[in-house]
Amino acid sequence: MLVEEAVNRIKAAGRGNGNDWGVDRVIDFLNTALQQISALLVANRYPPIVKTVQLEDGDDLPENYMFSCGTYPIRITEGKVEFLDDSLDEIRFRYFANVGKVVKTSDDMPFTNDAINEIVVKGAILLALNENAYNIGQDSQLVSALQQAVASGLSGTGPAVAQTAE
Amino acid sequence: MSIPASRILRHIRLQINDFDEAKVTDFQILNFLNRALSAISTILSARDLDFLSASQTYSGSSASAGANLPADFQAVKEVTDGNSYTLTPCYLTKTPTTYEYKVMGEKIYCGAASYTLFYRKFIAPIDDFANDNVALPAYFLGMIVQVTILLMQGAETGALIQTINNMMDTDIPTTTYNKKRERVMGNAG
Repeated sequence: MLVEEAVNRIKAAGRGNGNDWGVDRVIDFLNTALQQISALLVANRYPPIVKTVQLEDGDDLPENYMFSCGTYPIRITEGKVEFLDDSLDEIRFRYFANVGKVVKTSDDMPFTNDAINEIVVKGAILLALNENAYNIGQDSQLVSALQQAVASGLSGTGPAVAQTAE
Repeated sequence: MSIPASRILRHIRLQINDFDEAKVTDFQILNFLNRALSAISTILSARDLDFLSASQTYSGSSASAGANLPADFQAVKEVTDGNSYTLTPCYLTKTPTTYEYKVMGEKIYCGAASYTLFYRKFIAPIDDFANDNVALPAYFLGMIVQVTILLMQGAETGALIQTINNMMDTDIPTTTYNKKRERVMGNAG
């Protein structure tokens, strides 16, 4: 899905013939919604947003770092990594990465899975409508139910999976 | 007769549904696995099963200087000299003569010109999933996986020991060579 399509759909959700918000404003809504969905996917341990990096003692954390996939023998202080085990030269560090921002309408939406992009658009619509002081109470409930359904479906945390302590 | 650590890792990841390495790191699993191996090793040694026996041959007398014990040494079973005669343990304060030995600290002292130490080993921890092997027979795989996962779920020590003992009672063959030898010798006599 292109950002352009997302922008058009958000504009169409307004009541002013698509003129409620400028393109830049709509992209802001999209980016906020993207952050929201990223956090949701991290909370549900969604593997496709995991990245791997080789860390050495004293390295900076990756810029798009959100959360590590489990525990590593490191201590993080002010975005820097200290190793707790001197015998290690480097650690293969896996972490959940922020999906990043969209900037212009010709960009692709960050998720390859359009089901997630749909939810981002829905979330952005809520933000947009909310700013124009529409009552979005009911829409908001629907969207969060949808978010949860997709997030748990994607990460396989939904049905019949033995969970262990992390 | 050993299990590749990489296979154990795969079984554990299957069980916790995390082949993606998104929930638990190898580092965490390695630590829990080593704790599981330590618990299993402790309980096994109380049962003194055959595959815990090991031997190391030393050449040259070590009566006064002593020689290092094997890294996985736990207890002496027997010490023989180069002609396969059994040697006698001596007082700690004594320097062993040619037919005696003693174990002190991390060393064995023996007066024989060459000798073999038969000992009970413990199951050494592993450092690395890619290259290491766990020195246990293949039929321990299920138990190792289960015990590791119990530890990951925060099982209490008491409950854990109980579980391991139960598993051993049902899963692990308990006939040992020692018992077999006694029976053979009894029949012969």
